[in-house]
Amino acid sequence: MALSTRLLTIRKSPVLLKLPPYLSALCILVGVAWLFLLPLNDYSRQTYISENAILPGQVHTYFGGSEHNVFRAYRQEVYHLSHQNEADRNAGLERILKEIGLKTAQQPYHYKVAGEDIEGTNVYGLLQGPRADATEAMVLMAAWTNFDGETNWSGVALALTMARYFKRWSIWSKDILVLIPADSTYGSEAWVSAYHSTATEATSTRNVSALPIKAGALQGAVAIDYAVGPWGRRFDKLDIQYDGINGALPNLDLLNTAVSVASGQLGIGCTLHGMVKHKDSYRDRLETLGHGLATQAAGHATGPHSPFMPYHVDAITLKTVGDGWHDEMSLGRATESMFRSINNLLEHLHQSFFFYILLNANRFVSIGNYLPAAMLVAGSFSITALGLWVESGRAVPSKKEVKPASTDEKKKGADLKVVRQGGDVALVPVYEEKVVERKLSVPALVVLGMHLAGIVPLYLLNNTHKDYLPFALLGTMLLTLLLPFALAKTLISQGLTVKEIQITQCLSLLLLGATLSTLATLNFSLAFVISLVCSGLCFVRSRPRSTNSAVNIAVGTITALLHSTTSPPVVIYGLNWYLAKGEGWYDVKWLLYEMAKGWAAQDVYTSFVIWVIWWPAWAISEFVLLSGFVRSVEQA
Amino acid sequence: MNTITKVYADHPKTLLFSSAAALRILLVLAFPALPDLLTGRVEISSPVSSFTRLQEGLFLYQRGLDPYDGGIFHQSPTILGRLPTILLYTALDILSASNLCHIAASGAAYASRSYTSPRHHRHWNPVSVAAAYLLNPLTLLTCLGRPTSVFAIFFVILSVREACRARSVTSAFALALASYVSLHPVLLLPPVGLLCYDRVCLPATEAAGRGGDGETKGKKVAIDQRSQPSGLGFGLIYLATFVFSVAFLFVLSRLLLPSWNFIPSVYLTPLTLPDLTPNPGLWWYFFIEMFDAFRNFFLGVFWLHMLSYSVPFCLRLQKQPLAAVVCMMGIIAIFEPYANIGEVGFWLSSITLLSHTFELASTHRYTFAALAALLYTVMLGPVFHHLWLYAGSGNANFFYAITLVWALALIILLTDTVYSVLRDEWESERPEGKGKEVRQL
Amino acid sequence: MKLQPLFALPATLLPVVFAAADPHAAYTEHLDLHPLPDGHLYAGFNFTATTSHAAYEAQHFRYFPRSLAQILQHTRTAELHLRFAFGRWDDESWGARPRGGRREGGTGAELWAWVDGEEDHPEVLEERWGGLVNSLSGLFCASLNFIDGTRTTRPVLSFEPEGTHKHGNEAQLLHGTLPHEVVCTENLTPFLKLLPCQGKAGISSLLDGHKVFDANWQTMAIDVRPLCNAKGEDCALEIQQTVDMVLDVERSMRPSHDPIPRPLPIEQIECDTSKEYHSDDTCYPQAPSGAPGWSLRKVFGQPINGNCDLESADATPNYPITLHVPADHPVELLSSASLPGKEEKMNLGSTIIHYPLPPHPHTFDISLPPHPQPPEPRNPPLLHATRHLTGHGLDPPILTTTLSNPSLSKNLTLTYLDTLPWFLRPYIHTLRLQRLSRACGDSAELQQLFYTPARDRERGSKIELLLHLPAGCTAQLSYGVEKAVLRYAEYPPDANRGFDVAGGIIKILPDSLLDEQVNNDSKREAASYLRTPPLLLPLPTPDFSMPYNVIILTSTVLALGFGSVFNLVVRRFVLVEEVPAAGLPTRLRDAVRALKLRLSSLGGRSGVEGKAGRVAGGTTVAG
Repeated sequence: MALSTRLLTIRKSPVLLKLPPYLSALCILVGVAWLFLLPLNDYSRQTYISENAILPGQVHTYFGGSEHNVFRAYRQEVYHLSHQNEADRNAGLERILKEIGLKTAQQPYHYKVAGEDIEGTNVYGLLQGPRADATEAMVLMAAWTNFDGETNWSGVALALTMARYFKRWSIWSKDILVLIPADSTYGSEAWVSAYHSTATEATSTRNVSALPIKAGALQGAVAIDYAVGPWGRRFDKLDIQYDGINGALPNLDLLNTAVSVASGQLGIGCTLHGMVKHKDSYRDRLETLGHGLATQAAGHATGPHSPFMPYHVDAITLKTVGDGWHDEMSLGRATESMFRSINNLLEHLHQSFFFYILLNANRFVSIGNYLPAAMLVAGSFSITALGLWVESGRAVPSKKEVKPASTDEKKKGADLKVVRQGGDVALVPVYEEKVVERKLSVPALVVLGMHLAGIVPLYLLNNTHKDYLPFALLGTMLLTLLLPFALAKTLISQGLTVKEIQITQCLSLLLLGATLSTLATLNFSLAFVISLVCSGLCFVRSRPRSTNSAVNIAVGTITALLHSTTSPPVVIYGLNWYLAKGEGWYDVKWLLYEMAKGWAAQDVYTSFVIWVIWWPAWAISEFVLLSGFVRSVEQA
Repeated sequence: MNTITKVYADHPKTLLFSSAAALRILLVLAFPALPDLLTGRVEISSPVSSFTRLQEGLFLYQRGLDPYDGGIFHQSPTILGRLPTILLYTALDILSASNLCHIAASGAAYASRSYTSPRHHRHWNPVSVAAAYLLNPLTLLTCLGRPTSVFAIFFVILSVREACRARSVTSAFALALASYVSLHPVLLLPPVGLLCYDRVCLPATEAAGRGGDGETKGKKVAIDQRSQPSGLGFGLIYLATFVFSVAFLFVLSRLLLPSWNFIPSVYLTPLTLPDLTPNPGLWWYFFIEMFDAFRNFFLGVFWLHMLSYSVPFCLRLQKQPLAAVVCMMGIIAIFEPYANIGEVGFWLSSITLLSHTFELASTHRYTFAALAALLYTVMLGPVFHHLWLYAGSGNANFFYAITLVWALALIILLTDTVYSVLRDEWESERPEGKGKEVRQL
Repeated sequence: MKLQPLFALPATLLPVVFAAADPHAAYTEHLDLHPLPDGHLYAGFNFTATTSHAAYEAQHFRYFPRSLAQILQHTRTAELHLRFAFGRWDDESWGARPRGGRREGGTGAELWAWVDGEEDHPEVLEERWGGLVNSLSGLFCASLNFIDGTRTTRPVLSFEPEGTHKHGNEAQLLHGTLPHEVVCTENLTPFLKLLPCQGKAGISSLLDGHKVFDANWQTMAIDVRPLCNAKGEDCALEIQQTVDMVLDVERSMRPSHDPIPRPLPIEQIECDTSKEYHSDDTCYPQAPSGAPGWSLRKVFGQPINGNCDLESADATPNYPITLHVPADHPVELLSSASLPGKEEKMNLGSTIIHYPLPPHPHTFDISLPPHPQPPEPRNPPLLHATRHLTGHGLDPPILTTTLSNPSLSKNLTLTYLDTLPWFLRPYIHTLRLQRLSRACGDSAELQQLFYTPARDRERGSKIELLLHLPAGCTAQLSYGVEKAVLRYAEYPPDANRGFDVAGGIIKILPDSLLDEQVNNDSKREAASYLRTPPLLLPLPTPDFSMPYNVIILTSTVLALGFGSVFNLVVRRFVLVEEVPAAGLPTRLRDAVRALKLRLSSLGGRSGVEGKAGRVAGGTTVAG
């Protein structure tokens, strides 16, 4: 009690009120600096296997010998199939799986995104472990076309060969599903969602037909990506792709298993994000970290494994990169060893980390070390909000007092007033009478309304036809620029007080802070990036310095434009310019279409975060910025 | 625009109620899947109030099976009439809101038999109190989630409202209904009884006040005890009414049902906690992790803890009985075994009944920090629950930690309320203490 | 005194005499071999022993296993069915299940029995059931004793007694399953011990643990039932021991010293040379066709070790071994002293050969060479059934069972039994039967539903329903479930992947029951059974390392609330200015100041007086 009262006395001190902006700035700086510390040895760790049951690379692999001939034959077969139409192709694949002795089935799917159709048919087969009870299963995947759009001849052929080879083993404690999705993202997405869905018939929005054959709970999935035809190509390293939808990551043990099997057992080097030349230097680590942040923040699929993560199925893709001396057989042996390891699992992978940032195939940063970065940056908003709240609660210093800070002490002794109430009579300091009531209704309405308004661009940018997406973005741009100004104009004319504007900003920042720190626990990178872009919002205040209206207008426009450079549409244009996928920075069709596909087909919530969390916060801060000038102009 | 403002000026209540009802119904029409989604949320529907379980119980009952012979259905029998629709829930919310309106209008919050708050002019107008209840997101979500705890809330408000109108019998009966629907409103018996007694005595006091000469107007004068009922007698009558109504309800439900099974199933479940489904409260994880040897001991401790508040509040806040009621509601909302955001939302809204003391809380306490913490937990809670159960990337401690923070924030709010009420009372005795720092000893 | 033994003598002799007169004491054994498509071999062992009821009452046993009989007598068990099973019967490629599925159980262990006892004395019944379960678990080295109240159910539709029970004593049916039980050699050994020849001779000599448990599908069954004639007297007790298994011929013929399936040398793979890319380093493997060659010795590791003929007096030669082969399939008899089997032609070009067994010192073995023609599957199955636990994230978990009736003409009436552990709570109001195929029409429907809701930690829930499935119809039976959260001590201590939920038991009613009441035993055909594989139920787990932390943290929060509230309630407000300076330091300061005052007052005097005064002062202070 006593302690709390002392704290409260501190709360009255004017120094504290000046502090918040500097505190927020400090938080942001420390947060960013933190990220650059991570690649150092003291802040990252060597990876290690936590689950003892896995025993990676402990088994002798027998894949080889005559299987190589079979593989070549299958590759020829797949190559031939690749020249036929899709129906025959699937029939051919199904035939081969049947000959091997698997129970096979096909699954057509069809997504409608931004006026375009995405359709295909998955072929898959079930290898029942001879002595397994049908409760668990693992998935061996080889998408027909890999993520870069090349046909995955060798990958598919290898999957078929592995299936034939696995068929003869009786050691499997889990069934094995051999899945050949038609493409690298939507095929597996459709398959895994149908596998877990309770619906029996296809729904209207996403036309995914139910699976005729199912096995037990999926314990792990491994995809092979080896896009080489019958001419063959030896590879140098295995690129391990691990990012899931919405930045979900597979259990680190699965990744470690792949790395230790490949490099430890078979001497194949492993890379991440296609960085073949990784000299484990600070720079390379930082670059890997950057790649990781980018892909995770985008939240889109990075391979056939990605859609499995949201369903709590750990999955990775093994992609062959470089030009070296390893051949398909060593990739096959790696796959065999991995499946033996997954087969050893007694329980679902849970021992190791689910939140990590990889700096190298065998070096990672655990959540404890990196989360503070995001939390600090997100926390800066809450600090500013707190400051604004306290500020908005203080009595406005009357004109004659120069130093508002000293009001309390001065007036304590000052003019007293006789209060008579009931029978009691008392002397009460006058100033205590005018305690400020915070008017919350209007600010709350503004914040709520803005966030609801965010649904408009969200809808526009995800439901208009592909060709009109750029115009939708333009419209959003206009909305972004005009809405805050109009709002400021109307509300000020309705007599919005400075306090209320302060409170509005306070609420908005508070909400932003809370949302971003929540997001940081789901998708660290996205939260971090957004809060970096938003970091400017902490320092926006609605105090025009000068009294000259012309100056005010000029300064107002300039600052507003400066402020607009961090607005979502502008940032999207900038991103598009950086990626340079269209001709010129203004041709944003590709980017927007990708975002729309992610939203509609893969349940990526990145665009939701952009339009319903980031955009309103930015618009409100713009509104706060403008309102100051509008007010001063009106007064003049 | 003008018409709206005009209507708002003329009949604010009508506008508010209609808009609130429209909001609820439109939400259901716009997102048909929403109610079922919310029904599945552990934050909203607990094992003793879940709508899904109600459907199950109803299904069994309509097929002539004893719904209480099994571990699923733990809700009071009279609900077994027919499945309540979303409209009924909306209506209940509206009625509760209007009752809150009446309570606020009755002025029981700031004026009692022996006390009038120096800040009585600061209280919100009744409509905004009702708005605070109807537009509270927690209440809104609960209404759509359709847990049966809504019934208990309604009856509690009804009982308080009747108490404010000095109708002891109806008040006791409503409270009996509430405690019959879900056990814990029993704890409200002392404060509500006190409130009712206070209101019963009020007219006599005022009469006495008016009887005096103009000088002593508004002053509290000595009242001869004969002119008002004795506290003990009133208490006994109130208690008796309560007990008889409960007994009556039990007999009624026995007629509906094949056996007395429902009594252990409905009223023992919150006591013994057989079903450990996660909820925002403090009990579930504690009793998941509890060693079997100490389980019963700690169950006893937890219940004693909840019991221990009721009487002290009545004694200390006997000058402001409504404050005692609100604080007790807070205790229930925070510490009840199958906690849910519905009761918390109801309590947060009912704090606005004490709105005349808000300035104290906001100037002397950490209300803003507590509210910010609440905001954080409201967002983090569902996410951590998802990480634990579905994504599998987080474990139970994530969600548990959030429930702890949630409880802490609510406790801070509760203490703020108690503080400001007491401070208000103290300042009426010592007006010169206004705005000064105080200590307690 | 002396005469006592003499009197005792007849008493001891009596059973012997009795047994000699036992008309029912008989023992037969039978082995059914049936090559299946894609290189599998079905082997069904059956051992049947009977004893008259009188001898059973008198505790005299000849073939009937004494250890089991005493258990049955002690627990008043009228009819017993015990199953150990693992693996999956692949009915798509192998056809209908052997013995109509009546002799197989769900994965793990399954037990159901008719125990004497009245409805109104459940405690007696439970006590007997408990005794039965415990002694059986001792007898078969299985953890059957875990079939407690939470795993025991009382099905209504799904099982009917196979034996004819004497009228008057109503026996109660109890049923329990252990889906998680791992069936192993330690269960087979006691099983063989019950046989008269104990696996030393006769067909049981083939039953070697390594081979039996390397099978793709295997089930051991013990069925004890009373048999009476129509008038209900002259009863006998029959025990049937059954072992059915499906072996992968290629796998079980691997040399035991090197069981690893290495890639075959390229010469042993027959390639499809028609492919144009075929070359010495590219080989498209021929689709496996035809039947592999096998012999009993190669598949089972040893030949049959003579016969197990117990009545040597018995003249009629019996043919304990039956082999189903395609008509044109040559069979070579490898054993020296055994008589040739007698063949009988079946329709669709398959033959059944019955073989007698040679007397003991001789062994019996047959061998079939590889054959280009793959063997025919058995009769087509009556029903396909799969069961899954779907639902993830926001959509709640749903237990769906897909039933499809493959036949084009035959309508099915079947019962479906689901026994769920208490921590998987079904929402019976969500029970739906979705008709997935047009053939279902409207006649596919639920006809009866028996439901026992679960009670937490006391009993599991039982859902039993009767439904009609027209020809060609595929229907999906689904209901929502809720996973409970358990106390941390209720989770298994070891690393666990989740809990196993026993498979659903489907009973297909025979037609004779469908049309009018022709239920007299003469033309009553038995129902056939089908069990879905078990399910894995992952439950949300708490952090097992947390108990102390949780107790401490939660209690802290409670104490915080209690403390801060009561702190406010019991203490009174005082302005900061008025707070009396309390505390030890201030008091010390006052004392010191008082002392100083005295000293200063004593200031000017001489040392002695001062001393005295100081002493005095000291005393006064002390006083």
